[in-house]
Amino acid sequence: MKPVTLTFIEKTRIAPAMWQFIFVADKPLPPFQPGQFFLARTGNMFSAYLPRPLFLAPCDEVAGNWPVSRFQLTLSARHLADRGLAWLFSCPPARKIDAFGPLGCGFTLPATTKNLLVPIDFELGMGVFLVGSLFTMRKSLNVTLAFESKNPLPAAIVRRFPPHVEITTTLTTDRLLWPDAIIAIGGIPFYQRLKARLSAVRLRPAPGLAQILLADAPLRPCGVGACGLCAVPTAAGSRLACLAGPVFDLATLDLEVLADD
Amino acid sequence: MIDLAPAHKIGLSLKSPLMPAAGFWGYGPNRYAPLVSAELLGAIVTNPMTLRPRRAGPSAPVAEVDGGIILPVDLPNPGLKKIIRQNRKFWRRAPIPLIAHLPADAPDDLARTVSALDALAVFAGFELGLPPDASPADAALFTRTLIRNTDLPALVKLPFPGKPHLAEAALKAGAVALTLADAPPAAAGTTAGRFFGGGVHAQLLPHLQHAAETFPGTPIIACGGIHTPADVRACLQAGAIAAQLDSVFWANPQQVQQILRYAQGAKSDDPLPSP
Ligand code: FES
Repeated sequence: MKPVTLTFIEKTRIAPAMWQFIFVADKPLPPFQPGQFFLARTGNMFSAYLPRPLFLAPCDEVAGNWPVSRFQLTLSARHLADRGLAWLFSCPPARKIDAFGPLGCGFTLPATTKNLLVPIDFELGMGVFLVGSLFTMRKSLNVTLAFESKNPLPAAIVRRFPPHVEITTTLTTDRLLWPDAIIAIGGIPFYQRLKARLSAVRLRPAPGLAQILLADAPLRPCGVGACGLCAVPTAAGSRLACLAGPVFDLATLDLEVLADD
Repeated sequence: MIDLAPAHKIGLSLKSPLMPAAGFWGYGPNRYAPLVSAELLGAIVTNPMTLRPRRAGPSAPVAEVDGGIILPVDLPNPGLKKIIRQNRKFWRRAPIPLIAHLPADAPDDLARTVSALDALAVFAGFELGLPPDASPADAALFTRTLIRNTDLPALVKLPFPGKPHLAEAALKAGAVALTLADAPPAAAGTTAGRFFGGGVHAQLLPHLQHAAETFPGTPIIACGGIHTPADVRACLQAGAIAAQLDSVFWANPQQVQQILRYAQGAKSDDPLPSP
C-alpha cells in the first residue's frame, strides 16, 4: 500500500447511464490485481467524506504493460446516490485526488486456466472494464463475457473488447459447464442467481472455481483491516472484506446472511 | 516521557502523548504502514477484546453528517482465544507499549479476560470501556474486577461527555487515569450508533477542562475528534496529558502522520508549539 495522487483527466459517457473516468497517477504503479482497490479522499475540506474505494483498472492501451500510470474506472448512475462518488462525478478535469492502495485481495487467474467465463451485472457499471487486464494479454485463453443487462448492450462497449473475447447476454447451461474459471462482478442477488444456476448444473463445483467481487461490501470506515467493522460471513468464519476480500470464493461466502444484512 | 500512571507502583511511561483510540488500530500490527509510522506513537490501544466473540449486527449504513459520521458500534471482535492466537507473536516484540482495551462485560468474563491477558506479560496497562448507561456502582464493580486480576495500571474510558460521577466511582475503585471520552450516541435516518468526527472535538474541550479541575493529579487522556495538531494542543491546554486519535485514521491517515510528527518532542507540561 502506498499513497498516490490521482489526477482526474476526463469522464466519457459509454452507455446511457454509465461513465468511464480516466485518471493519471503521479507515479507509475506496480502491478495489482483487478478487484483490489484504492481508498480515495473525496469532498472538499468543508465536506470531507470517508474515503471511497475505487476499483481502478489500467486503461486499455496500457493494459499488461506494468508499471502503469493511466487508469480507468466505470461508474453507473446508481453510484450518484453515494455522496462521495457523486462528488467524483462533479470533479472538474485536472482535479487532484489523494488516495492510497492497492488494498485487499483481487481476482487471480491460475496459469492453467483455459476457459474463462466472466458474468457481469452490466447495470452495476464498475465491472465493465475492470477485469480486462486479466485476459487481454493471454491470447490462448478462451473468454466469454456474459453481461446481464435489462437493456441492449451498446455496440461501443462490445467493440472495446479484443476479437478473441466472446460476448453474450445469455448464460446457458452449456456456458456454465464449459469454464475452468469464473470471475463474476455484480450484487448479492446476482451472485445468488449465479450460485443457484451453477449448482444446478455442477453438483459439486470445485473450490475456487468461481471468484466474485463483493462490489457492495462496505469497505469502510478504515478499509485497511484496522476497525473490524467490515466482517462478512464465510464457511470458515467471518472474514474482513477489506483484507481477505473484496474478492471471495463464491462457494464459501454465506450469501443468505449477506442478503439479509 | 509522559507517565499515565505516576501514582502506580509500575507506572505507564510513554515517549509520545499520542496513541490510537480503541477500535482504530487493530490488535497490534500496523495496518496503516507506510502512511503512519507506529514508532511515532506513544502506545497502541488495542481494539476491544471480549472473552467471547461478538459479531457485528446487520450492516446498517454509515451515515455521513456534518462534522463526521454516525456508525453503529457493536464492538465486534473475534473473541479472546482467536485474538491471542493471531497476535501473540506481534505482542511479544511490540516496539511500543500496548494497552489492552476491554469493554465492560459480564464480571466473570471480564475477570477471565484480564487474567488471560495479564498472564501473557505483554501489556503495559488496561483500558476499561464503560457503557453509556453505566451507573457509578457499575463503574466501581467493573474497575474492581479489572484491578483484582492484574497488577498493571487500569485506565477507565468514560462514556461521553465524561460523566464526573462515573469518574469518581472508577477512581475510588482503583483506576489510575481517565480517558475522556467514548464517542457520543447519535442517530440519523435509519442509522443509530455513535458519532465520530472532527465535530466531536469542540464539544469535548469544556469537559476535559472540568475533569482536570475536578480530579487534579489524575492523568486525563483526551479522545474525540482530534484531527489536527491544533486540536492536540487544545486538549493538552485544557488539562489532558495525552490524547487518543480516532476518526482521523478513517478520514485521512496521512494527516495522522503529520499530527504524530508534530507531537514529537512535546512534553506533558509543555504546550505544543503552534502548528
Ligand atoms: S473496513 Fe475496517 S476492517 Fe475492513
